[in-house]
Amino acid sequence: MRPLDEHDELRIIREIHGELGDEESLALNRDVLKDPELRRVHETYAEISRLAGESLGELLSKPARLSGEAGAAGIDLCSAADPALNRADVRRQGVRVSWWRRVEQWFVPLSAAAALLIAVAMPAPPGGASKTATGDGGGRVEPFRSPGAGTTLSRPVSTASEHIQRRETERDVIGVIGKDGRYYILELDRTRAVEGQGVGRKRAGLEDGV
Amino acid sequence: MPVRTLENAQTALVEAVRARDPSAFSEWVQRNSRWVRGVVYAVLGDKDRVDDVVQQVWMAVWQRIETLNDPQRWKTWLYSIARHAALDAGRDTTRRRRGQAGGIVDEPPDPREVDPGRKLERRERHERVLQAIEALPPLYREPFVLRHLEGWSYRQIADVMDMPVDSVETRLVRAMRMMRQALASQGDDPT
Repeated sequence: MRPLDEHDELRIIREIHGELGDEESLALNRDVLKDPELRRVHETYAEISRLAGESLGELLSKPARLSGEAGAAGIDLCSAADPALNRADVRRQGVRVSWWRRVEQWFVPLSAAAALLIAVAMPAPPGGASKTATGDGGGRVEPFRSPGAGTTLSRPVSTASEHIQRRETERDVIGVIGKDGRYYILELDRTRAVEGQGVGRKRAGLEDGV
Repeated sequence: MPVRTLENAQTALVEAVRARDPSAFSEWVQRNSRWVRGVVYAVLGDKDRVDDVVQQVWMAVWQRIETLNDPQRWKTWLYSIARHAALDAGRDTTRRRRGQAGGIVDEPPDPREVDPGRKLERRERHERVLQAIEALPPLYREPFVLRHLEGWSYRQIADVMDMPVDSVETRLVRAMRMMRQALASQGDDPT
């Protein structure tokens, strides 16, 4: 490594760091083309700069990890930094809590609970007149048929008691607004088992679910 | 987006943080996490302790945000907190021996890697560069890390470090010269 003129070295480093004006940069490039040693030094510094950027970027570009919980970093950190900052404080200090958070916290579970309660508490309509999700024609009760056999059985194979079970499925529709601002329709199918004398079992198409 | 617009957006964010808005704080942390890590690393010169100290920095920021009188100067203020947290951490403990633990080379090569040998070679080279950076005096290491991690201009570095541009340039030139000598003595010609 021959001693390098300090002025040249300064010009090279400033050029690599993007701190040299256009004219100075052009002049340096001319000198670099003429002088192989200068070119080698330029390449060396350019490579050091590139490698340093790569190494530091790889080492330090991790996403922020605060309070050991990714995601709600700010809120977690606030709680950790200021234990007095609980929900009540947040409300008192006028920090806005997203309205969707409130809907999400209360509306969805309440809707699900209400749907379940209705499913359990609703009395069986006379003659199984509810509209079914399988759409088998106005609540008409169909006798159970063995799949593929074409033989009508008097009772379901799995039912051993005197009571014959049938299933009714009803559909609830709930509208909610998502985090992205769109309106979503949730369809909740409620299937319940109803016991009764001499009633055939419907071919249940759907189980409980959304 | 122009730098000035980005700065203004961040100033607005800082105002929201001062009003104790946790979501604004979260956003602010995400936007500035990288260079704050860089400052802590540059002061400490120890990559294994960066995470812990950075955690303390953000805690301190949230607790002391009211002391930021001029939101336009938020960057210098944040730099100062990060720097002092790192200095305190450096004073508290004896510095670990360089290359003792952690770091990039400790991870075994990924067997699914198409060319694990090449990747290992790259990691070793990065490790040598990091060692050379850590061997720089802190005075030179700070501007060097900010320049190469974030690509900040000499002016930006001078603003955040609250010093003349000429001083930044002098330190960077010396840091580059030391890096060149260190890598040459390791037998690692970057070219």
